[in-house]
Amino acid sequence: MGPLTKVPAPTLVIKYEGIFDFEGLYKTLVSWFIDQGYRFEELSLKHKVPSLAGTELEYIWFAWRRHNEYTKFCVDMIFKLYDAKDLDVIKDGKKKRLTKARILCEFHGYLELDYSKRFGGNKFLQGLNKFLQYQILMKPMEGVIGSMWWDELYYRTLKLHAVIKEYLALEAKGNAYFDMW
Amino acid sequence: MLKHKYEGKDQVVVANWRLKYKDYHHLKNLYTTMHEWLVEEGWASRSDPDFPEDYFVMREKPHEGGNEVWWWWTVKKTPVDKGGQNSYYQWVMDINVHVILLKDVEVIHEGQKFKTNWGEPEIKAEARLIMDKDDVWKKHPLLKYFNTIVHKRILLEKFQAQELELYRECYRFQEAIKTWLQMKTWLPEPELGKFWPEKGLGSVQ
Repeated sequence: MGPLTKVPAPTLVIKYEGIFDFEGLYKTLVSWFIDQGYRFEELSLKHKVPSLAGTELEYIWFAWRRHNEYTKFCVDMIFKLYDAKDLDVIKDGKKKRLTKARILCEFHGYLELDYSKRFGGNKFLQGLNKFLQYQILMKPMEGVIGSMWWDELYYRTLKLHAVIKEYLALEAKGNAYFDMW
Repeated sequence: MLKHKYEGKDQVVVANWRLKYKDYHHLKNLYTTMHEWLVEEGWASRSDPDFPEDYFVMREKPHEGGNEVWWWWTVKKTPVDKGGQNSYYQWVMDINVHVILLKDVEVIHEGQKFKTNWGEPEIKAEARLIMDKDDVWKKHPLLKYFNTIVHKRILLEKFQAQELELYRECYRFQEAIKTWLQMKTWLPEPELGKFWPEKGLGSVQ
């Protein structure tokens, strides 16, 4: 077994059907990443009108942040809208454009180790990397390499999950781990 | 001998994205908007013979649902430093556009009839940061031994700053196209504003 390059965190999913402010949600998500110091990349976006039921939109995002010289926090995110239709709604006497759609949102967070390839050169460096990972970074009973960074990544991704739940005013909004990191 | 255009170059892909849109749009105006943005931002010259269009093809296949258009651009920019143009780094952006199912249609927009297109354009962009663009360090008898350590260690901050700048530039280009296609954007300021009529129609009011 060679040195690891990726340590994944559990995937988080949100599904929602209803009326919401899509523009607001989109900007909130992007600003969350930017405020947290991530580099945000919109890798792919698709816009299709497959039927009269509405538009289908797919966004594939990737955000990353250098945590230290060895570790990078990465979040892959898929954001899909099905049957999206714009609606004009009067709220507090003001006309507002909202969207009615089904949303599917998935986050895959992971740690990228040795992203600068400092230990990628020769067999000796690779062995050193493996020693660092399995003897120093992996603590007994934890079973995850770089668990102190992994924890931070996971709790931060949970916060993003909570931001969406809050924005969509879901019944299960809130985050039991809001005080972590 | 055939070889890849980036073979032997010290380069890193800084940003790459893909945009697919299947709906009404005016293809000629989309082409113009993309061209104008690149010219305005210093990626290409306004002179048509110098514009780096590597490939353009249009296949007329009406029996298969519509025409097919391809165009490939490789645009380059030399970043500007405090001391003038940077001689070590170069920004390169490969832009590939592929349109399928392209049809001429007429639409009623704000009570007026317009000729436009319906189809599925797919736009791909890949931004690369090229180091030692003229191979000055690589060919130098002494400097060639220090090239890697200089750009990966000693000038690391400069390299990361260049990377960030290029990433921003590449996404500003995406923003310009998304603004034109009336898609949701996320940068604080929309690119190009509304100067180029969105989807080629804009507002006739």
